[in-house]
Amino acid sequence: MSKMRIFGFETSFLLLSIAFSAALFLGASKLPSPVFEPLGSAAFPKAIALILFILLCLKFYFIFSSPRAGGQDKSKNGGGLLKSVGLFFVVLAYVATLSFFNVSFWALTFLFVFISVVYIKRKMRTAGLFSVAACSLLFSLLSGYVFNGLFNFGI
Amino acid sequence: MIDAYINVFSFPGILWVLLGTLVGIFIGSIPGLSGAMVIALALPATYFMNSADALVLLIAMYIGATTGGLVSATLMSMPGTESAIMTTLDGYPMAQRGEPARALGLGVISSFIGGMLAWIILATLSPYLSKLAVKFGPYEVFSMTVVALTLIAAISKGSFISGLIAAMLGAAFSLPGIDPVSGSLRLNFGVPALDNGFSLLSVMLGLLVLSQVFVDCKKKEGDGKSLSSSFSAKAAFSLKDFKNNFLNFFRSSMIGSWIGILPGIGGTTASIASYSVAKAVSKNSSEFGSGCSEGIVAAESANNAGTVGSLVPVITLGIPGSVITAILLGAMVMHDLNPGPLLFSQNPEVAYTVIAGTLAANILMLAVMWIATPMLAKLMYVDKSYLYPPIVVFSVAGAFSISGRFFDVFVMLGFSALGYLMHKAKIPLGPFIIAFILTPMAESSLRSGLVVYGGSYLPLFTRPGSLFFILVAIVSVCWVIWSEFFQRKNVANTVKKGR
Repeated sequence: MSKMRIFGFETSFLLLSIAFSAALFLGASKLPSPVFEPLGSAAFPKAIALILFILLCLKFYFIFSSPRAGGQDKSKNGGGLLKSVGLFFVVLAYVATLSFFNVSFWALTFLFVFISVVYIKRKMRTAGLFSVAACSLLFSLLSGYVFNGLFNFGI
Repeated sequence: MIDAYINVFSFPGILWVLLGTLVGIFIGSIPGLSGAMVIALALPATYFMNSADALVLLIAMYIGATTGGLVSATLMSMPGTESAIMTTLDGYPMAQRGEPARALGLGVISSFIGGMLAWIILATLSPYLSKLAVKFGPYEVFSMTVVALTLIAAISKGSFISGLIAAMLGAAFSLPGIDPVSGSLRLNFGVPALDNGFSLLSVMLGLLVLSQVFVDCKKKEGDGKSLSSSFSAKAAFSLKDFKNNFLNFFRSSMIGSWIGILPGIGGTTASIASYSVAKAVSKNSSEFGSGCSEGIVAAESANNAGTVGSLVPVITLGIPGSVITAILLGAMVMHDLNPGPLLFSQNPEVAYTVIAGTLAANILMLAVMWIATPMLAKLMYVDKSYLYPPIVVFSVAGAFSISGRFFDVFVMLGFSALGYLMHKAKIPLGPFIIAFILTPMAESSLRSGLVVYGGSYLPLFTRPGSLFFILVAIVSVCWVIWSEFFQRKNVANTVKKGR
């Protein structure tokens, strides 16, 4: 993976974390002051938010101050991020459909497993597709029985 | 104590140990699937078991996964688990020169001896350590958690600051929900579903399991080297090898056990340290790295001893030393146990069952590895694309099973995205998980201490136990900052010279 790409991930992570630490500090500031004990429920969150903020600023400083090689090839792992993000959205769609629509668990699981395997593998022959479909069906029926029939999860 | 051993070695206890060992070994032998992943996935299933059986199952998985990593390390030069990295250095060259059976046999026997010697330490030291720990006051507990977090942040992958950021983030995410001292609601940001905070299982499944799936799904299969198809993957061991390595077995196991006991260090560092020591004291040091039996013995004895040793601080102090022991600690909390100093006094049957389970898992591990290595050798080549979607389905069902609501599943997805980002930004996940578990304990200890000592922080520095832990924390922080400073200086000098 190119250093530029890691740099981008680092910066996004740090910015998100700074936003989170600010939200935590603001949230803690609204908590009532202590009555029966010296610290109260706001002290620890405030301290953690502050330490986190300082550490994130330090990390930012180190990122921008340290020597960094640039211009590496981005093409080497170009499809990697897209594939991971794509799979994330497939999982999100699976969970959202389970959550908001009245769809049978085993049927949706069959679709999800089949689509995900095909998506991850990319290149597959027709015979391979049939065997993936058969295995997905078997797995979804079995998992449906185990989670809902045996353990009674109600999913 | 005797009852615990009888329970573990009789039906159904032994069945859980066998199941855990088998699953752990299978998962450990597949490169890319970690012990942490399978143990986190197995957690929801243990809801339906009693606490002792659940812990025995999870510990057997832990021991099995650590050992399973040696198969692919030896036959593919691709460690199945991180702690098997040093095994590749001599295991693969030995297998390549036509002795795969000897390499596997040495690895299996070394793992067994390492595990057994560490078990003796676990069984003898834990009760005494817990008696000592019961005397700890709130400030000692607080300073102990601070030490654990600083050590874990210091030794984890990446820079010290990255480790501390991960720990602080983990601490921050543990705060929403019910205040551990006053019992009032805090930081739920107007979301009623957050009244009980983020569920530990959702966090672990998201960060450890799903994020790993998203990271690994783009990897191409067959990255590792492989031996010719005509090789035999049967394990074999000779008395000559045992005699030649007698001292090495003992020394490496002791190094592994003691390193394992220290929070945050774990099996990987244990195997690196014992490999280095073995190389330094060996008459054949030049042969290390070219298929030397001493290298395999040092690496494998130490990593299994480190695995068993890491259970000591979990059951006696309630301090996890690694991600997997953090999951085990989480499992104890989920089963309404009180991990830490009080475990031996309140639930002695569980504490002794953990110790007995470790012994049983080590014995069964030897038997399973001896019989199953030819099959495991084939498992290494499993195409993981077929495994990821079922892992996702198990994670979704596991997160849903916590309280039957999809909020926990969405939380898991959120943490998986965070875990992915952290992985890409080279921020270690271990300190996050451990801080997430330890922060409520640290907060309630500090606040209780302040109530007990009339609002004074002074006893933190005047009580010997607390002072000792604080000094350890300060020394470890100074040491890491010092070494990172010099590392940066060296990098800067190298870049300057390059220009």
